[in-house]
Amino acid sequence: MSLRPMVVVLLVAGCGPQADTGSIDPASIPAGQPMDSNLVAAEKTDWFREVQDERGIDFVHRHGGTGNKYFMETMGSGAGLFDYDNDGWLDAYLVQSGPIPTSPNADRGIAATLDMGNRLYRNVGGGRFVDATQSSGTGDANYGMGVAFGDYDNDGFVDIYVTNFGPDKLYRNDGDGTFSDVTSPSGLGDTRWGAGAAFADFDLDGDLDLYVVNYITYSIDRNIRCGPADILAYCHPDVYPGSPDILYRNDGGKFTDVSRLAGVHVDDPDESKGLGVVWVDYDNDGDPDIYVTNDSTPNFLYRNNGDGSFTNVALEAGVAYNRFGKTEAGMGIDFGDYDWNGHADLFMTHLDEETNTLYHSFGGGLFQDYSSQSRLGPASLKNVGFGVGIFDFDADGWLDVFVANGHIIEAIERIRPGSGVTYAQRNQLFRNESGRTFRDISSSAGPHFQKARVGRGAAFGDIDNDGDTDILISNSNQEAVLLENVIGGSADWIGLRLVGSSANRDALGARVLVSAEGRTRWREVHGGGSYLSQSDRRLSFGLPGGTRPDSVVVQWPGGSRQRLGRDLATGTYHTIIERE
Amino acid sequence: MSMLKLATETTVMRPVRSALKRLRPVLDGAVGLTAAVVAAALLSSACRAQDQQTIRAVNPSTVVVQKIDSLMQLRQFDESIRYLTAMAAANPNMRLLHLNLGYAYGNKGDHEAAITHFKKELERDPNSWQAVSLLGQAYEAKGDLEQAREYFGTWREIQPERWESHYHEGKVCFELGHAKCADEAFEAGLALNPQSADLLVGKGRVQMAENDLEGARKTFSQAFMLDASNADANYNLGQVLIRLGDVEQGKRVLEQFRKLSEQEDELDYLRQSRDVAGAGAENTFAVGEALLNQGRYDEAMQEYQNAVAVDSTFWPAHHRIAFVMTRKGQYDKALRPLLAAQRLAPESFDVRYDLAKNYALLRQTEEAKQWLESALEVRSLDAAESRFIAELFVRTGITEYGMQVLSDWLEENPEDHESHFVMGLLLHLTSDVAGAGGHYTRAILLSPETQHYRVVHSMALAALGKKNAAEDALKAIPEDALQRHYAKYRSLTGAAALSQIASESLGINLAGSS
Repeated sequence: MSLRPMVVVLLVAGCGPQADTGSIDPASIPAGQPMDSNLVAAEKTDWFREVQDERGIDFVHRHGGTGNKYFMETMGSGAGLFDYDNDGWLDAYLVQSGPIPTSPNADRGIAATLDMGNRLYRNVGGGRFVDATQSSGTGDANYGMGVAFGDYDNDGFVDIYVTNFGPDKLYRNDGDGTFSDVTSPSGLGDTRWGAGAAFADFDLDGDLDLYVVNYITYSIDRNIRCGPADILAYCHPDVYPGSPDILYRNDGGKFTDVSRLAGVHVDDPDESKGLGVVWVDYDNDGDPDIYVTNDSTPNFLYRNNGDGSFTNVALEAGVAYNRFGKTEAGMGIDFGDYDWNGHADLFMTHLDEETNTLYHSFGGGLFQDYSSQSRLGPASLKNVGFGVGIFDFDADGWLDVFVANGHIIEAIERIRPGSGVTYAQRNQLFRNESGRTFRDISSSAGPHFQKARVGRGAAFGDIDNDGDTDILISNSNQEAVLLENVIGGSADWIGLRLVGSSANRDALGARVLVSAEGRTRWREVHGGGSYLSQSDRRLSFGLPGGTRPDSVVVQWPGGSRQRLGRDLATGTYHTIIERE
Repeated sequence: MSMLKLATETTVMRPVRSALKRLRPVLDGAVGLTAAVVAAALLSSACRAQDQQTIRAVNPSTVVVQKIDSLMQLRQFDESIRYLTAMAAANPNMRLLHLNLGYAYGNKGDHEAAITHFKKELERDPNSWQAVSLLGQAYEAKGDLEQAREYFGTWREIQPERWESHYHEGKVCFELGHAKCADEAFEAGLALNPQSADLLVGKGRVQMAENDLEGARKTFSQAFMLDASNADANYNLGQVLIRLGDVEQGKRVLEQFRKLSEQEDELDYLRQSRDVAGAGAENTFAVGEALLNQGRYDEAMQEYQNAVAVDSTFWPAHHRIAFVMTRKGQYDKALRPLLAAQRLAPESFDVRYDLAKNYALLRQTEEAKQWLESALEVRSLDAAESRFIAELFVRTGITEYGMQVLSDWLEENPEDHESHFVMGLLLHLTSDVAGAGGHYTRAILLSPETQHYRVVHSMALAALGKKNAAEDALKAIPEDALQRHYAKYRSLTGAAALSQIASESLGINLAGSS
């Protein structure tokens, strides 16, 4: 692996032809044609290696369980990768659960005293981390769940939103390495059980709004006993009422709950038991839509109507239920165009004995469950999937899939002996075979994939700026794992960090379209995804066989396009600032 | 969330629930090897001299076999395993023992043990299609689809004449992404059983996967026609219609699917709760209720009978057994469970009321009246009950008493226009058209916007020879409403006369509108 800490800042504004507008229409190339001879992918093995110890990530998740099987103990927590100090290196944030809170508003002083709060690790270069929790003031000691990043005040420094079993928290990045808790003045701090959260500019007014998924209505003092007579176990979410999600509109740095106004409030709590969320422009109309995975209730796909309102179109779009018309235990979610047909496909993780599900998009806002055809489904039947990422791990030009697995019940082997299902489970890596099927290559992907853990959140990003995607995984009641992708240096690539001017500064919702050899690949900068986690916002494209892109176009939120010069240097990240 | 759900919720645990969801096909699927069948096979084998001897070696009678049958029915698998293991210890090669053991283990989620026993059965009888098919299903439940496919393939070779063998291989082939193999298997199954909605849905899925949307639409439509309550068929038909651009129709079908899906979810939940907690009378009864809500009377009846088997004092199950029998026209048979329910819940208004209804249907006038009086000791009738019992009694010849029931109600509730209308109808039916007219008039005064009151009133007027009044009444009714309501009430006295008036005065042909 080569360390290439090059972050080239290019002000590309003004280069390329006049900006134009219009819908995104990546060239549609039939799937199934190999991108090229694929020099790196052939039979290489050991793609990833565990480096958390050598790189300074010493986070150990504690769920605080004492045997009472309180529901939130088993849900794990999220991980995040972002550059909080703008030094060009990805920093890491890991959410801690900690001692069981006796009530949602309980004093978490003990947890704080025990240093059982969230942890921020600063990347000091080359993917080496030092703990910056204390100095940054980001060690929230609530019973943590998830994390989202977004520069909500457009000051150029990314802020942190933490969901909790208890009041959520917003940390404003003060730009000097420290953060301030601005939860109350920002109108946030919902005390329900928050799970996934994600920023996006849904009304295209240039500032970031926020969607927060709430899971179920649960409290310690109303804990229900579940499990067979002699074994206490965590309950099924059916046992508790759901909890409606919240859409916050950013009104000049203060957030307003517009859930009802925008049509994303669900009145029947039993229909809303969400865990995962991602913003994705699934219908290519230039504004971000919302996809929410619900645990055993139909998923939501909120189409952005472009007037500040949303319509749940999941049922007719074919993404509320699986191919059998059944709901599934939705956990993590990600999207990507795995066959490069110009439309975002959705992939989500589920319980064992359900498949993880791939919804393939045909365009027109319509999907079909392709879990069987893609071969992603059968491979997941014995696992409980949580964190998930769709990314091109081997830089061959096709998007691959990583899933973090781990069961929710410690005693599962006692409860269901002979089922073949275990508590600790191995993570899985699936290689995209030319946009048609996926192959489970976990057995040859590195020693990490032979070790069973209890995987939960997973964040994806390039910690060492070598162009490939590394993975940070949060494991329930276990040490976090940092997986270094060791392909760096053996494949060419081009990386982009987008900065909005009239669009939101984080450029959430922007797309980059890279055309080469008659095929257009695209990625979207997006909020949310995976499970309780947030990944690197930069986009990198592998250039298999050393091919040079014929064109690189940025489609900014709202539809304006910016063509970048063909002479973009490879092997480095470019900062692209939106042309005013 | 319903109260029923709350009552059982503490027993549910996620993995077990999903495991059982997954396993259900092993229990009830097309294999035709339900608990009853397996146990019956065991029982019949027990009748064979050799096996009888074996069983007697363990237990001097076949009571134990019947006990196992009962336990299996009630899904008490741990107990079943205890009995079966004792029998297997005495004679490990006894016919079908391992099938039963595997079946019981499989339903507990212990697929490994299930597979071990099915394999033992296969060793004992290499031609056992049951063992092969159940091995396929156990591997499928365990998530080993390739292995499952292998056994289903063998099953197809052994029993090519059974559509189920083709269906199961087709399903697993599809899950594995082998569209061609799936298509071939579903087609083979459909050649044997073209009426199987499951096979059609399987075939439709393959067509969708192959992007043959028009073909898929036809296939799903066929499945839908065969079984409109098949949620899977509804879902896929809705999706394919939308894909083909028929968005409105697709949405309508999906709306229907959503309702079916909610019912199915409720049923699944109740079944799984029971499987985890063990079959009690209440949770078995709850499953029966969910089935009844879906109109699945036979299955509901089975659950109610199971509830009674668990607890013979659980009167709601007796009551429901009677209800299902009544719905099937078995009025005589329904008396027994009704009387049982009455003995167990002597103060129940519902049971007394239903006894009155049932005796009326059997034309046992005195008993009907007595039970109604008895019900009225508990509480008085509400509007709907008064109207219903009045109409039932009139129609079953207990006319005077029936009329009196409704009269009493109207005396207390003179503003109830619907009851006035029903009273009018009953008088109309008993040829007291003039009396009927008075109640119709009252009903119209109280609810002038209700059009069918006016249509029926105009029939009465026509019957009484009040042609002009009838004609005036008709003019106030839009033609489509007139046609619709006339068709519904055309058997009443005066309908023919009204038709003539409509034809002559308004040029509307009502005679042909039925």
